[in-house]
Amino acid sequence: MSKRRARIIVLCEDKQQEVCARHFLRQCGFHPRKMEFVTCPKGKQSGEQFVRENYPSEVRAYRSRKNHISICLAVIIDADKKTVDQRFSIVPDGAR
Amino acid sequence: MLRRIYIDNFKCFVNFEFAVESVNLFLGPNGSGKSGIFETLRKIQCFISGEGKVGDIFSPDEYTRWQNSPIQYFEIDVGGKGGVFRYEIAVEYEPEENLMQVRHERLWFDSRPLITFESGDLKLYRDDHLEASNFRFGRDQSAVALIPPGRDNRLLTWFKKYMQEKLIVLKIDPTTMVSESEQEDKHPSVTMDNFASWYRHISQDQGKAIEITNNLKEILDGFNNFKFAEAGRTRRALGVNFHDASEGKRPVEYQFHELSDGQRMLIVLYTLIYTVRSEGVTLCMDEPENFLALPEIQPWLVTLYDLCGDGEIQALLASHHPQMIDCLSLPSGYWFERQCNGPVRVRRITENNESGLPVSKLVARGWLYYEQT
Repeated sequence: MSKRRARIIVLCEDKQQEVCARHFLRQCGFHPRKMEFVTCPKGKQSGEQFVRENYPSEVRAYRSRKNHISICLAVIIDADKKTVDQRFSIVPDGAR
Repeated sequence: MLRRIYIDNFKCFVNFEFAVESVNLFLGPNGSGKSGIFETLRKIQCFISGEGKVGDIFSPDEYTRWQNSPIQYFEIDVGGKGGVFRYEIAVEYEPEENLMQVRHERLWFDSRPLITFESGDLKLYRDDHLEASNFRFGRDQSAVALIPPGRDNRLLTWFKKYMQEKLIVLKIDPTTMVSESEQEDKHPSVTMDNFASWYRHISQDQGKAIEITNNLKEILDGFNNFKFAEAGRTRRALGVNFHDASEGKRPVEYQFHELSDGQRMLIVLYTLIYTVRSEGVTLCMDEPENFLALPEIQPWLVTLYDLCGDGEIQALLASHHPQMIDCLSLPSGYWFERQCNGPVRVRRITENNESGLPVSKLVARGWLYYEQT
């Protein structure tokens, strides 16, 4: 797999998702130094709520930089009992 | 206070100039030259203090690898006595003789000479800038270091005193600190391994010792006082008394080296700023937050920042810690970087932050240096 130069920020619900994403991205050619994970800390807060709350600020940060440097933003969220379309509907139109 | 630093042909510094403010936080990747500034200041300090000859302090291994010039240039500007001192030194390497020599050494006050040394000719000037004497001088040591204080050279003496006593360059390492002290030390060493000897000197000033003790009582849980015990004819051992929590107020004594690295670091950091306050000191500290617990970093930093704001201390700090970065980077941060292993470049960190992320986050993601482009 060719080396990817982009830096990827991954917003995810828990450690399990983080580990899964890390292995997947490694296979896709991302070096561990090029990955940064924003993971919900262990506690009472639900992972889904953490991702939903942090999503707008991460999108804003990504948009402020995307024209200057090679970066990606990946967001992982469980559909849980909802469908994928229903889950997408929680994301505001301007932030998709 | 330090106003400007210029370095050329030393390690990764080529034609490098930096204007120094009252608080300066150096940020940047590993190997970007942050600690190099402190190293340079320490070398100039050693040279002016006469701690060694030019070959003991400067080395041919420290020339910029991709440059061919055998001459290194260093300049510092220091504000004081109602004007600005400029100290310049050029160090030359002679490969045939494998010898380091002083090419020139000059000290100016408000652009007028106090001392000039060039090609073996030394000219001394009085405080009114009239030439006092002119003679041949060796090229292997500092002329500034050898001139004794006199009635006609008070400016030169002030500058030497600033460089020897008021410029403090530190890379504190609590693992090297010992309890024993053979004699009093007027100045802390770079790693502070002589803390016991330095505190022995400070404790001669009762007022200062009481102020330090009272402040440490508020900072270190259970701290009571310092105590020196005899450990030989001149040797003393520094102990620290704590209250024993389980048995009321009975003090428990520990040798200084028995404390944890973090406790020693905390004691040293607060002792340092309460000792040097109001003395017009320039503190240069490489990663002062090392060994400190997270809740301890910001209070110390805020104390230091307030003292700097009041003009009591000037601080040059290098750090990678997010708390330091977020606390100080926007008013006082400088980003050091090197493109493709080239020379050091430095940029001031501005408030043009559209991302909404804290500066430490931008640094962690490698996004900061795009802030200024």
